[in-house]
Amino acid sequence: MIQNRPVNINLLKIKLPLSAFLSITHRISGILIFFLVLPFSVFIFSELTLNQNSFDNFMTMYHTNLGIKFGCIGLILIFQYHIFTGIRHILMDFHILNETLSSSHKSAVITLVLFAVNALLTLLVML
Amino acid sequence: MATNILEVNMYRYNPEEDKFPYIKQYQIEKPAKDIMVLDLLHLLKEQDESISYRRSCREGVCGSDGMNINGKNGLACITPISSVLKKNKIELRPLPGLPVIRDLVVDMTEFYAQYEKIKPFLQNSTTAPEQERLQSPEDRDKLDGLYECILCACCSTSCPSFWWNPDKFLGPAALLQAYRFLADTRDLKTNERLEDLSDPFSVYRCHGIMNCVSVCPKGLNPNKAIGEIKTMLLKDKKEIITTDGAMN
Repeated sequence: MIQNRPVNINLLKIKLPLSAFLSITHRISGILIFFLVLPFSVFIFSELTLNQNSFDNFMTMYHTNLGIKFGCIGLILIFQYHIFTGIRHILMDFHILNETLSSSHKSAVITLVLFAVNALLTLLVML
Repeated sequence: MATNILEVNMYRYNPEEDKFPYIKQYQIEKPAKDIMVLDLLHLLKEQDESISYRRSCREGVCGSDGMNINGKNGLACITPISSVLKKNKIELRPLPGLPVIRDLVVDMTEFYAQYEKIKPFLQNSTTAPEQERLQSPEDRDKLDGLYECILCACCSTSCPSFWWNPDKFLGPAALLQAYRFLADTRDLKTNERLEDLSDPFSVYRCHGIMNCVSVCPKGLNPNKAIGEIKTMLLKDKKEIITTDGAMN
């Protein structure tokens, strides 16, 4: 058998349904939670609880430095996205959501809309 | 007139001449009536006889001509060009994820190996009755939507989990057949079959991407079958807990 045969796997040329987008980004957000959200959250939490001085320092930085502010919001949004898409997957696994193409598309749209509303609220609270 | 010309971009690869695959563009006059993609391939073959593809029954029964048509897997023989044409353009590629032998012909060895793993035959060691093993109509109904699979590989080769682990994840086609025998009341090896599926890869790499359902030319739902297998695996575990007092 010839070993070096090519494989057609050009992701830009292959159509995937919306549920694929949700499933793939759910996994990516999961990886980001482990390597980004978790370590940074622990770091921020330790800064905030160390003593009064470091608490004040962090809060002034948060309110003066836009990068830090949006970084924190980003961390929260990644976590929330993972929860939203995760709940959809759990509902499908327990057969609560019908496992047909149309209902999976519907639930994907609803999940994205709910996440967008939630992201807006988060921004309103955090800014 | 320019609007009457079809532009076909085809994935070409001939291992004896080409080092790498490439896309070749063909221009062809748009046929007066709506034809199938397979008919279009026949017309192109008159232009360029080096084009290779598999085909046999030309009516969606044999499953030979599965290919990636404008980004979506399907059978060329039952896909009308009107349903896939975009600005008079069609892009034809081999099924994704499997090694390409030549042009649109892929090596299905990995796909069939996964099918073989699920033991796709009835296992029942009791003495067979004189005529046939009977089933109630209700039990027979459980096999609808499962037995119709023609193994064209459109679903498995559209599944990102199968691209990633073609050797360990069974893929939607094999899993649909696995469930076909789990659901069959005449098959008595249900527990053994579930045992074979209980590792972290065989079933659990399915993450509900749903592309298998989206592409299946026979309108089947492998994702639902996989969901049912997952539920059976959970129930199986539960029974082990109640009988032995503890899991394993």
